[in-house]
Amino acid sequence: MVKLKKYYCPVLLLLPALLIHTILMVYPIFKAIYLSFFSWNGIMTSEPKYIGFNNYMQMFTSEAFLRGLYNVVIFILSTFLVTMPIAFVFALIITSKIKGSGFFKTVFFIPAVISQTAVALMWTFIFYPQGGLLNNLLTYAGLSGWINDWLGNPSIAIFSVVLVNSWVSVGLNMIILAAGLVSIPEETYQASRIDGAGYLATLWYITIPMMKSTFNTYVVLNLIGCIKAFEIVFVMTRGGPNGATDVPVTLLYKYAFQYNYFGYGNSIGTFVLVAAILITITVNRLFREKA
Amino acid sequence: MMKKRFLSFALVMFFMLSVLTGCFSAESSNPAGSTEQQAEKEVTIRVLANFSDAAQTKSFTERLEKFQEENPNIVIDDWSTGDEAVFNDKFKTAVAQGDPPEIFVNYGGVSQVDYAKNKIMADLTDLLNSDKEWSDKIPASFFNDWKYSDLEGVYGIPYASFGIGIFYNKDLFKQIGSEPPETIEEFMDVSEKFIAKGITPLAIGDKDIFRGGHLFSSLSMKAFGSQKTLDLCSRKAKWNDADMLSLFQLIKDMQDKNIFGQNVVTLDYNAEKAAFESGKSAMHMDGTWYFGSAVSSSIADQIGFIPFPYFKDKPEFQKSWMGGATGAFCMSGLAEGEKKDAAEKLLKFISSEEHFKYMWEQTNGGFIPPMSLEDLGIDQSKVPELTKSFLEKFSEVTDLRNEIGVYDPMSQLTTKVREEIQGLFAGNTPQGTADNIQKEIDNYEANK
Repeated sequence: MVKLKKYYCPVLLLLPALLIHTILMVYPIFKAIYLSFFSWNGIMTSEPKYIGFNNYMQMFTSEAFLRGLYNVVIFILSTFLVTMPIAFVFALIITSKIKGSGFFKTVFFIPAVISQTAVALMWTFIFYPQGGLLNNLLTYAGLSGWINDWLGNPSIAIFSVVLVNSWVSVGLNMIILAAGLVSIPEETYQASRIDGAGYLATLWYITIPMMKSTFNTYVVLNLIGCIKAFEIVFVMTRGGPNGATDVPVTLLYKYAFQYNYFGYGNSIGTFVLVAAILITITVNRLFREKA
Repeated sequence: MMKKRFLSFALVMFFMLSVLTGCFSAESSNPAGSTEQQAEKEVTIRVLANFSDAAQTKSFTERLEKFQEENPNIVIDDWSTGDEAVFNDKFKTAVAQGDPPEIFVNYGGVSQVDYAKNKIMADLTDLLNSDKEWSDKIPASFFNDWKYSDLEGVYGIPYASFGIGIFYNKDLFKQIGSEPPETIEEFMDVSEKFIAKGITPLAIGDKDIFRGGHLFSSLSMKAFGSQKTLDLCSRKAKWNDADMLSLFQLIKDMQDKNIFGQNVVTLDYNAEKAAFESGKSAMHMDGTWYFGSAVSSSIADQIGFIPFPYFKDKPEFQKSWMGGATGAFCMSGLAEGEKKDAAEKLLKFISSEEHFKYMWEQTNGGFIPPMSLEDLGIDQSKVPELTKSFLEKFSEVTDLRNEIGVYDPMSQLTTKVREEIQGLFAGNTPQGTADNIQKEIDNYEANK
């Protein structure tokens, strides 16, 4: 009884925050999951119709959704093949003792502090086929054959969007990786140098293995970021042309707010939520096993 | 120690009580008072309108301010926006919460019937009948898009009419030595001349997918009249039949000739207008809401208006236009008591002759009222030449229909058609485009 009494005050202090969190976060999540089993036109005064797993069956057999998943895979691949190597090199530069590392830190981080909408609009203008900076540069460089409608051509539009996403996210990822780099004790490097290890050997045998927990954070954050990508896609292409750059969240928006299929939209939202949770658990487990 | 604990406990309780009383004070803080207090009690009503033209938005805001001045006890919470996507998001979010704004704009058509059935849109029959002097000023035919065959009542008060036509740059036409086109065939000829001079004939910014939708519906009206629209919506005709296929093919051919410019999918509506106003595009397809911008643009004296070109071999559809009532003001069917009274008062205010006249004058004729200008007592000598030329042509229209999807029971058809046309611009084939639309309709019919 005495032990319980000791918790009254902290519990009461936490209660308001907990209540607000439950009302604004937990309740809507469960409500969305619940509604994903219904057919509902988004009108509160109309009764949702229970349809079991139909929304999910329709979702997994829908060409648009599968294309959205394919686009997420491209986002994920770019995170590992483009963003990570660049962010890592940038992190090495800004944590090194070279002159002007502070300047580089600011320059590399700038894309991350600009609003995503502004970035997306800027790149949209750069990608304009007629009068856009990229095509103009290609013309001046004598590479007219490479000129393309970077956002209007369905077969390459997603790659253009993904590259812009990488450009935006490199700065923040650089900070994550830099935090891992500076947490490695200097003594370890000194010991490796005494043993005769060169720069690459140190990088491979000391730096990368000791950044395991940082990579864990990087992988989880980026995978979740990819699966819930929205702003860049929406501002640059609105999922177009004709769905070529749609990702699950743009489809959620489209089905719920344009087509009035709120039940179906919620099933996509639930998929994104479950996928994010599964990704987090799996990645954490994989990194723990290897630790 | 005990004292400290007691103090913490008291603080927590105080905080929680403040939060809870804060939550409920709006409802409970004003117990029934004297009649005088009741009379002065403020009532807030929310308004959600959407005008794509800045001059219209500004004038509408001024009218709301005027109403506010005349009715100090009615507070207006104006949610209005000039962006259709933002408008839709705001409206649909409010509807999903069961709390729609008391007054809102709606574009009508069969696809909106669910809002009427579920009391999001109130039946305005009683209100209209209660003041015939006011309601009879708006011609009965304008209400058609807010009446439903399986539901009694009238669910919106139309506030403007529109027609889609072509605005053209007189100076650029002089440069190529041609008159503005009356037929599609002439349109193709002048387009070739513009392309030869490095000028885009008719820039289309289909990043905003309604641009392609308007182009398609205008072509359909000129090729087949409104009967085709009705046949498609009643499923007597198919989207992949020879007629529709020929239109998709025509759009594709025009694009292949570079008539719409090279940035069709990446250019948006604003950039498209900018291309026209900067002389990079010789023509601009738009609705009457563009008059306000056109008259105040830097090339205002160079802008002329022509109806959308018709097909030479189909003169019977020369006077068929895409157009109709631009939209209507609707009232929430969930509003009750003082809110309902206040909403009705505002509804009458923004659909009065005085309101239409003000909107017309402030937008340089960019707001075509749903009644004749003579009835409104508008001085004809003050009507801008551009608007005059539109009104002259518009008065000859014999067949007027909105975008095809508006009349279809499948509410998402308008968006689907627009997206598929964007796909056509992005490289899909006419047959593929037509088949995709028909497939969506077949799915809808199968799962109905």
